[in-house]
Amino acid sequence: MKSLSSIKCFISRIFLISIIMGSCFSGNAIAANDGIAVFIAIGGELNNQDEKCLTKELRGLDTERTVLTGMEFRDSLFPFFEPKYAPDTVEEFSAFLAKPGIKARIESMGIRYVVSVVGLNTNLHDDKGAFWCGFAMDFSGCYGMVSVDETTTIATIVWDLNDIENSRVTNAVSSGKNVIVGFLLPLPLKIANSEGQACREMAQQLTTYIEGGELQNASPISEWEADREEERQKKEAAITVYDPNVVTAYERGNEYISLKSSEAWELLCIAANAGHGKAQEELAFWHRTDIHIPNEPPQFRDDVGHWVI
Amino acid sequence: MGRYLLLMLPLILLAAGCAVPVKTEMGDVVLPAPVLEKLPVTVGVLYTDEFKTAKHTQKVSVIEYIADLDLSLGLANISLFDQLTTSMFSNVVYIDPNSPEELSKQDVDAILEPSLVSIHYGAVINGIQWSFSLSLTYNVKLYLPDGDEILTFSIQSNPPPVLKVRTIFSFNDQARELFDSATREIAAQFYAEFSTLPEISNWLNTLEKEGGTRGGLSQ
Repeated sequence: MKSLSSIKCFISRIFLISIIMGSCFSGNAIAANDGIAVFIAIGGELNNQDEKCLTKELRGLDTERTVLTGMEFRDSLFPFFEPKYAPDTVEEFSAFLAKPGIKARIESMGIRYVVSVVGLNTNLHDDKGAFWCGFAMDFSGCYGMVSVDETTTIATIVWDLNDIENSRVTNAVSSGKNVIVGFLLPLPLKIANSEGQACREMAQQLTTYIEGGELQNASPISEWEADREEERQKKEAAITVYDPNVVTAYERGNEYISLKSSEAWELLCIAANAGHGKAQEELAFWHRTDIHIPNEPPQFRDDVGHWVI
Repeated sequence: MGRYLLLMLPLILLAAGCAVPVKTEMGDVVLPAPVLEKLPVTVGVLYTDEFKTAKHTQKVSVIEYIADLDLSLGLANISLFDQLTTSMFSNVVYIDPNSPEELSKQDVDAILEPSLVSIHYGAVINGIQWSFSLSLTYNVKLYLPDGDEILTFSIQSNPPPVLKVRTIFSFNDQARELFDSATREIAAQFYAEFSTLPEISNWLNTLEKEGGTRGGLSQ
């Protein structure tokens, strides 16, 4: 399988969705409010259009419920959900809720759930068919047809403000097929809307959950935090063990040393992403256009582990 | 994307190498009301003439053009710090910098004097998508009525640029949008961090020991 491109990658970004619950949860401290409010915050970008994906679907599932946008929610709790200050661990949420005035504000809004979307990725893969573009005597243009599979994965954390430690992590996956037809001009026909479908499925899961049902594909927040800690330690270790003499496609004088091990490249990429200066320099070396590099270019993995050139 | 490129191509060719003037006044800064417990003190706010009439001129190269920025920032400066101070302190009075004698007449716990340290626009370009970038820094100096400094708090903002397919006609909007994002970030930093600074805790403790504040602490 060959991955053509990753259209959207929000692995490092966080969407936050708050779901305002009403009286359907009896016996808790939430004020009566027969509606759902949704907010999404993505990294440093406050008005990302992609927040509409999940918001729209949640609104569509129950028109009676109130659905707030991300900006409305952030405004109501300013500055605590600004990108730099938004809590994203059990510990940080607990500390946030303990701040003066926060509980009262949240109760007045009727908020019970805050949903962080920790990943929204759309990938194209498995292209099939034939496609040709070029010049030939009296003809020029593109001819043929190719179909491309599209998969969107959306992953969220559902924070329960009444019981933070019982928060859950869940995901939804959707696939579809797109077609590119070439007849003089390349005409992309977008048949699949895997992102919309994944949002629809996630919205359905969330609605079922807040109405008292089970959350599908869910795991405890503790497991997710443990995985994240492991990933963090892996990055730290990569910085510690990274050795440019071993993991290298480096220019030393006129000598180029090529590296064939994919594991070593992965280590290099992790170290560079984690901020290791020498690893970043080495990756930057491959982008130089002022010198001829005789080696094969390195391979990198996309978000779902496919090798891309 | 290709359609945008075709539409933009004549504009790119026509305006290649041209300087595009971006002369605008940054007006009122719109910020949400913060969830914040006000510090129970009376603070005198002093806006210097330089702060009230701040301007920024800069040439920024964007693709084939040069954005010739001429921005008036005085109103925005005052609008921003009016909101920050009235949200942070229980009482705020304004001090005229041209009447130094007024300082001694004002019954304040401290004087807050903001200054615009730097503002710098850059350009981020990726293919036919581009955006301005912005670095904005303010200093907030807090000192006692006798002139002794409590602290100088530096607040810096670098909001993430949003890369899009844009035209030269959006230079003005871009400069404003980014300034709005930056001031929101500045406000968030002030609200979230100012009252947690050790110098502020020490100052409040000292006021309490001395028998209370003009704003109501321990009274």
